[in-house]
Amino acid sequence: MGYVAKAEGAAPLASASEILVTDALLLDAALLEAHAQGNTAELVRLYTLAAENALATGDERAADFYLTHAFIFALEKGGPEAGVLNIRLAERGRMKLLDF
Amino acid sequence: MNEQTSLSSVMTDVNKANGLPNAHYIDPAVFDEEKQAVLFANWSGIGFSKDVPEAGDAKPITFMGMPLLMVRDRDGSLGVFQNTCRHRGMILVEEAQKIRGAIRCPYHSWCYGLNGALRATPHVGGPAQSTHEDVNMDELGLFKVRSFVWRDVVFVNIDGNAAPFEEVHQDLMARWSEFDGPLYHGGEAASFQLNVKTNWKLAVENYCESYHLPWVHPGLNSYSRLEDHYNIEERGKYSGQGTLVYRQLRDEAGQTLPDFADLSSKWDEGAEYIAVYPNVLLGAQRDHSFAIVLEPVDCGNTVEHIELYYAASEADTPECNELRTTNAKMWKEVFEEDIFVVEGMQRGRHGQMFDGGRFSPVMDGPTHNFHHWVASQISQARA
Ligand code: FES
Ligand SMILES: [Fe+2]
Repeated sequence: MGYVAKAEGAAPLASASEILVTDALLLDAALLEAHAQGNTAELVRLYTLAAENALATGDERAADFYLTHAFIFALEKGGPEAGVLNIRLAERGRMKLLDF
Repeated sequence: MNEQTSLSSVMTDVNKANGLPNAHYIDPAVFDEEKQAVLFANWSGIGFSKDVPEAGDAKPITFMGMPLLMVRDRDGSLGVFQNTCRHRGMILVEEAQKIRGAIRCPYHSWCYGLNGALRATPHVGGPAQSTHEDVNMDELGLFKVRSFVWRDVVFVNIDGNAAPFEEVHQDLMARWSEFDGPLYHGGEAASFQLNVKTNWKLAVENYCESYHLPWVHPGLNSYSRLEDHYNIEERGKYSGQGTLVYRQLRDEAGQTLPDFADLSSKWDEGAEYIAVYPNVLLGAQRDHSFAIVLEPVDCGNTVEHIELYYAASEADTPECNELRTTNAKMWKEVFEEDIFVVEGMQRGRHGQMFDGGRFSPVMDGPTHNFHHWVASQISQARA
């Protein structure tokens, strides 16, 4: 899983508090599991969480990466999160604003 | 490029004509030629609208190697797209499924809407950057294939150059306009497939003619007397057969299936069986209809996709369920009785001295009409 390797290798996580590191590892495992099961709703939730964690450590790039993934799975799944995530990413200059 | 077959003896009058040469049944090069000139250049049946009943329902169909995707949009319309991602050409949808939001390509997750529009291109401009000035999403929607639904059959014109369906089939649609009311699919028993070791055209040809009925379907005695049938042949358009003695199925209590609404008396004992060129076979009777889509697999193999429809739904007329089951069983037997002849004619075409055969000038008009149409399509493409 490319995503997980990236999350593990991301420098800001290594420099975060003990608790955040533990959370990150748990999150990685949960993401792997959600990918394996094709659980789209869970992927949206976990990638959004990963983005919030990255923002908390000031890693904007990682945050955008996770938000992008949260958005893609939200778009696939349908439902209101896709629109919200799209606005967030558009505001951050990462994609164009879509009509929903 | 195959050595071109001679079609002049096919294009002449039925009294003198030969059938299509062997190569049109057994030569893979001619199969490929017909794929473009006959099937992709015209309105071919690929499936059934009832297979994608609700918004978001998507069904992949491979038609003569071409990966297609039938999708029901939120406005109720049915779209047919090429099932190939605009990025690296990955197959988008592998199995029939309900698309809840967007179609996500499993490779790099480009996403498409139910109308085929490209909605997202994650990381296309580098990590976390999902735009790039040179990737214009408005130009990269899924390729749409022209489609038209008639009598629940999904017809497509793959090369995009045929005249509109309603124009090509104007006469036939008018002929059967009395049957334009709603069709209710008969459920599980009303849906079956037959894998037949034959060229797809032999299935059309056998369907068109009534000549074989008393020999191959002796069980249909009451409606197999040759004089009770008439030929249907419209040059350049369609052909088939009609019967004047259609008898409704009755159960022990004498109950029949409900009729389609507002039919004229012509259909009291009349029924018609017509080949919609190139590959769709339709039947219309007062109380049920059916549609057969012939899926050409290769020059010697065809899948017949058969679906039966009624004037009322299963839910509204549960008392008729048994009749519907009996009816489906009866048709399945009839279609199975035809397998040995279409397979036998296929093997017969490996006889190198066979010259396409000699028609009965009286009985084989509908078959000749089809050959004439096929030969015309091929000649046009060669011109
Ligand atoms: S091939 Fe479909 S996203 Fe790359
Ligand atoms: Fe038959």
